[in-house]
Amino acid sequence: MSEQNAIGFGLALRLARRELRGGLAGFRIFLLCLILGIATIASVGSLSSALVAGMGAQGQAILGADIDFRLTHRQAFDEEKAWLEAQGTVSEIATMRTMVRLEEQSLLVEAKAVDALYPLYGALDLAPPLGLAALQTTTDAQGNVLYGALAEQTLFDRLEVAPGAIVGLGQIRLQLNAVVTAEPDRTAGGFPLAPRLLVSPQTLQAAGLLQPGSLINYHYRIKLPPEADVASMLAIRAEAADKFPNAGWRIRDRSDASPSLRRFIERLGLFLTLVGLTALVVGGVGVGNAISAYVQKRSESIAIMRALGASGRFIFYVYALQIAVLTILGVLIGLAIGAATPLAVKFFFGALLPVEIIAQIYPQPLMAAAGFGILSAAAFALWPLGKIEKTPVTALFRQSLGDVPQNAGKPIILAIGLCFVGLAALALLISERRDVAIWFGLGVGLSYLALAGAARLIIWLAKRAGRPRQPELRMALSNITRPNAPVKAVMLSMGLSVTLLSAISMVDGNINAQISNDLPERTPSFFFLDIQPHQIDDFLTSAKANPAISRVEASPLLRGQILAVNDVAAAALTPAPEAAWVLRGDRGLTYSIAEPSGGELVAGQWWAADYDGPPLISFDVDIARGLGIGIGDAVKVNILGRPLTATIYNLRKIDWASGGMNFVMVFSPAPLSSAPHTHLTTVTMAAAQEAAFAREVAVAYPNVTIIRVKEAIQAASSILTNLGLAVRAMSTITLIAGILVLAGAMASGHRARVYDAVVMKVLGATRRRIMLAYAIEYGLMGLGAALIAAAAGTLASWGLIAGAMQASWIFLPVTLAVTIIAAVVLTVILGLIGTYAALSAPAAPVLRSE
Amino acid sequence: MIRIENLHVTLPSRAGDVNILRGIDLTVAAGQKLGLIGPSGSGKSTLLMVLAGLEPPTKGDVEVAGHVYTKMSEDDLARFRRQHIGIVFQSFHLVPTMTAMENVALPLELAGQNNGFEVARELLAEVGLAHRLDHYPAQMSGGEQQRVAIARALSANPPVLFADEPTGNLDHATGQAIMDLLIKLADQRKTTLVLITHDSELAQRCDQVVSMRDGKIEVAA
Repeated sequence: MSEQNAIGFGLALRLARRELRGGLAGFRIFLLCLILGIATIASVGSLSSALVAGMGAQGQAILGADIDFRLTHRQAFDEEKAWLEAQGTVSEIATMRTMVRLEEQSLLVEAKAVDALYPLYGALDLAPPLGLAALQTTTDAQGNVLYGALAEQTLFDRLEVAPGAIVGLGQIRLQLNAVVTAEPDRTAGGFPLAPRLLVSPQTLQAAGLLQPGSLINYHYRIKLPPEADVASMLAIRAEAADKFPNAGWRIRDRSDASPSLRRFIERLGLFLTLVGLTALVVGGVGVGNAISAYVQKRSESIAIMRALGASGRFIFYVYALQIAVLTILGVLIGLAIGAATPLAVKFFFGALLPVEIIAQIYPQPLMAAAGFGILSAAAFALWPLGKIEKTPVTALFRQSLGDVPQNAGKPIILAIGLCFVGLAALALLISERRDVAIWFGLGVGLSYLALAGAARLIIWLAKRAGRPRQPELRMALSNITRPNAPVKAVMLSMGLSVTLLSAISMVDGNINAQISNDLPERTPSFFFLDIQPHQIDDFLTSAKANPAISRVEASPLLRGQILAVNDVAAAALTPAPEAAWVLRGDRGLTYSIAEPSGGELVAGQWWAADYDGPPLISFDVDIARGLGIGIGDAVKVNILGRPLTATIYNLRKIDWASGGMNFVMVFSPAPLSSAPHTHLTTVTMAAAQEAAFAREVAVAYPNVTIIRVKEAIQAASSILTNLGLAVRAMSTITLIAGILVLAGAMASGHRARVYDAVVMKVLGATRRRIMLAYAIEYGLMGLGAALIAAAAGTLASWGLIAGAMQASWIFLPVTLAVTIIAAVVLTVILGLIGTYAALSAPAAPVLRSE
Repeated sequence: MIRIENLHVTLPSRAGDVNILRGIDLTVAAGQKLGLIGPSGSGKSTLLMVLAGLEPPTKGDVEVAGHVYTKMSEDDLARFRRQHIGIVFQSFHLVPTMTAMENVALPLELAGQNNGFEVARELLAEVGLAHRLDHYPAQMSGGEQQRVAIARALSANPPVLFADEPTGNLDHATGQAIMDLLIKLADQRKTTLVLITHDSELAQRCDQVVSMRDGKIEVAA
């Protein structure tokens, strides 16, 4: 930097400091808008990181081990078991869904058979604290064997029993000896569908539930020596893959104990970060307005400096430095709030969280929040600052904007563009799902442009509306068209936040409608699992004979894990994000002679009914596309510990929304038909007879697991409802940002409104008439914003439901109407609150001072 | 038409309460022209604000056109003003986003009358601004704006007209023309006029001149 430039910059800094000495009164809205958005992003990011860190730190307790090897359908072979035991202390757990019975009731439970070493980490808390001795076998007064069990409180509540109660499980009777108040590895299994039941392995065996092909997961949990670190675990995993390439086990270690929970936290965190970014964009409008208003107030000072010889560029630096200082202040306050959030959440809500969070400072989310804050402040501040540079001195003295250029110049436009590019790049950088970030950014950007365009349209229409006779309407229209009218600020602030809220409401409404109305019509009444081969024919015969049953479908069921495609190991594949799930763990498989219903053949043909050649697969066409495979490709699957390679023979478009039985992979009958497996059956029947039928099945087939679809939908629905509430609550932050911006816009126009109101009062207008004029003005602006927001929100919900979720989308006119009305009412109320202050101002001081 | 008894106005300021008017007694008969003179800070404008119902008295009675102000709410005063009082300000105080015709018609519209624009057209022609009907205040000179303000003040044909330094922001020649217009129109309508001015020459054109100093009436002539 040359000496001249250095002097200029030093002087600019000095002058900036002098200007700021006057206090921050004109920057309250500026700071609040920045702080709100940055604090939101920083808080969400810090809390997500704290939760994930907590999961990592408590990985042993969550997983119940240092490493967990899971096998489906089968126990470990002797060779596998010996190898596992050579790694460390091994605890064997078996989990399955099954039914307990009490008199006429049967209840789905998640049964877990634990050995004497359980839990390897963490503590199992019981009430009363009986310990694992409560799982032992006893006899009742009549000498009948009772098998000990422990259960979650929910099970006791659902059956309306207390500890000591006796229930049926398979062929045996259980005594529920105590309540499980804390199960250290509960979250490792993902979201629970049913209450937990703890038993011993002998109990599960005695119940007759361990049938070949039954849907049981066997966990081999290993406690490694204390010095074992991440490298050791990786080495063990590599050795397992090398020694037992076809074992088909799913391996997890303590560094990622519950991937599904972690993914859920990260995805939710990403979405809420994007909501925070929207709040920052909305707040950016307030930032721009605040700076415009500040510059206007300083116009006399600026004019004097320009008249005394200061260049436009110099003035730009003076004010840009002030804005930079204030931005840093806002960023620091926002970051402080964000950094403190994990501590605050732990203090107030720690007991409610599934995982104990680690409350510390997480630099990465804070840096991201700071980056977002600085870039968005710059993006919105540069335009009004840039216009100072271009404004001629004479215009500043005349305070007339008629002949002032409204353009800030190409360098400023370029700089603003770079800021937005920077924002987009940062959003992509922090997003695990880049497609989500891209669509979100596009949505916000297009909504912003649409709203800005709508603001211009409203002004244009108001100018062409003529001069209505009614003075209130005339005043409202003239206020919309006057220079520095708050039209754009109102449209952008309310419009963006209402767009987000209406999109969420429409998505929520669609999902609820699917769950409440659509799904029950399409889905069966029951899923029956673990029907043994020797039971299926009788089961189907009696089901079809039941007059209350309208439809029965059955399918063989096995589980298998994709090991490789065309000899490329599954771990080495790079699937599209929407297909990645199929490679994680094992999947339900079936075989069929004929083409199953619930789908449509889109490529290839179905195999002949008497086909007996090498194994063939019918594959879901969308998943195949996501994996980059097609007809003729070889897929190696592990089933019951044995690899099976089959060739893709055809591709099917599966209607997953049909609610029926559908499988990603359907095999040709041989050789799976001779492997141990069970049957899955769906039954659709009259709702009134469901309970009775479930009781009959529970009694006749005690090993069969009954999933009542209605209950499953309700469980999912309540999770979604709570999720929806949380997301909506967070989204109101954008509404708060919108209100702040609106308040700022009204504050900057307050003086003009006070003057107008006083003159109207002098001429004999009552306050009611003046308020009516403002109500019309804000009502028109609110309506414009609401209509755009409603359209944008509707489009966004359609994109998400029909596009991303591939479900049928329904238009919800009532939801939309409520959104529009609420937005208009809110805008009018906020406008009138600001106006009321103007109306209350005494007339005389205003008239004297003008 | 105008009666004031023992009027006191005290206003708060950073330095403490300030007694602006300290016991004013005044009577103005209907149709009379009253000139109010006094140095800056004597309380002239505050007295006018009180008379116009724009500043509440701290103590004392104010009665204009048969209406006692102390019994009236703010909206009552607004309704009263639209039909009984016209005000011409030094700074014109036209609504910047309305044309000349709309500014003049506004008091009649607020009073619920349908002929506002017709009356406005006539009045603007009377004050010599027939060619400026659709012009905004920013497009007119100071003298023209003051003419519009005078037309507006008289549009509802009020019995009382207050003028606070109506020529204060105008050059001498324009100011004289404005005063001629104001007095001519007031005489034509037999309107009671209260004129505030620091110019004693202007004040002498009124029927009665009252001098104020330090919040009190000094001389009534």
